[in-house]
Amino acid sequence: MAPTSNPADIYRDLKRAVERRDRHNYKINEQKVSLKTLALRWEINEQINSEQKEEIIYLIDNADFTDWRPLLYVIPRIFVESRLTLVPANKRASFGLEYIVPDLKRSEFDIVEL
Amino acid sequence: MSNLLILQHKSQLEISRVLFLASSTLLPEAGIGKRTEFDVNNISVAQAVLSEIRDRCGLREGDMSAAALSKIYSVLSEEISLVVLEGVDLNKIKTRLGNKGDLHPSQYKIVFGQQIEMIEALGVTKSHLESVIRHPNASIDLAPQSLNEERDPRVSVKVKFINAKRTENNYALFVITQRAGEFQVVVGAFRVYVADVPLKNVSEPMDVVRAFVAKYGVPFRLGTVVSSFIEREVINLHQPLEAAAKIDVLHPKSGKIYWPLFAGDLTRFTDPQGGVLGEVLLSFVVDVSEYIQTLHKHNVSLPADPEKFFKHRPHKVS
Repeated sequence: MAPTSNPADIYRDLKRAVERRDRHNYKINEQKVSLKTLALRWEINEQINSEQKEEIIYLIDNADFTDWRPLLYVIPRIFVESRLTLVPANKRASFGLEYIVPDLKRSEFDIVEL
Repeated sequence: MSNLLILQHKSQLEISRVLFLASSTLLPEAGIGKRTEFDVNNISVAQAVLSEIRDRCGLREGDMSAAALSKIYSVLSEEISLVVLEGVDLNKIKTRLGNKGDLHPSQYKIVFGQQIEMIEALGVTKSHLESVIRHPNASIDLAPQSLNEERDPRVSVKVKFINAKRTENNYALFVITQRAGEFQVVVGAFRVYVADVPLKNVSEPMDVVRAFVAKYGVPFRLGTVVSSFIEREVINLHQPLEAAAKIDVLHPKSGKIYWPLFAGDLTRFTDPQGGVLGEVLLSFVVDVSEYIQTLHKHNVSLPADPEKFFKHRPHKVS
């Protein structure tokens, strides 16, 4: 499994970055721009209005460093088996299988912080 | 507005679309959600934006290392904020988020309302309150079902578990606040001792409040309802809110002090049978005299006569 999709490596890297308040961390910067891009996309697709877009951008810019701390989602497969979507090989981080659950509900997983 | 030369003299909408496109081409595509059609005219501009950012950061074309991408993401992130928040009153955003309970706890300004004397008389200090509000173990914003946004009292309940030197003195401190923009007004706070109140099965803040009320609450009448605890319930108040929100303790005992708490307001509905309908987000009455006995048992430092702070107090919180 590639380091970019290895949950343990991602977890450790993010945890260290949050502890050090590392403003240049790749993963945190990627998350920030990814969330902002989603806000732009949702507004273009008329899923949110401009006020909601502004609020999302404001929240990301003013987030506490601890908001970027890693969380581990433990998802029992039995609840989501029928909705698992296999990520196409050309979009995976490595040869290992990767799945997406596009409509995961809060009641279907636990959150673990190590 | 943009710091990038290539985006000078473009409209806010154009800049926004180009930045969206530039970020989308770099970010991993998980393939979730509705896809967005790209405007082909913007693709070359988006590529030029990425080239200008690389130049500015001293990165060579094709460098896709984590360090390089991190720098590019950082610039894109700043540029998106610049264009989206240009000319926007940030205080208005803050107020909207504050009202919704979406601000980070550290960004709220804490206001100690008229109840602070009573709260302090029961051994909870301002620094205790600040600690719970800023760093709660759990928090919930009580969302009304029938109140419109203007009438929503915006009540939050926050809980923090405190470990004392002696385990029999361990307790949960819950604080009730009302949000008003970026302010949180403290309206009530109580200690719930693990040794006195069963807290084993609590899974959310309201469980702590319910357990506390089961121990220290007394039956009361509010409008047409008689209860020891009302939570997110629409009730007939029979009369205007100011009069109806007066809480009558059933069978009050002489010499005892009670603290009634109420958070709610009128709905826009009327009862066909007559009377006005109000939604009560939270209401209970604390037997302060009994609660003080518990505080004494746990050696909480209290003023000489804590009950005097409860005399001549109004019977409603909001």
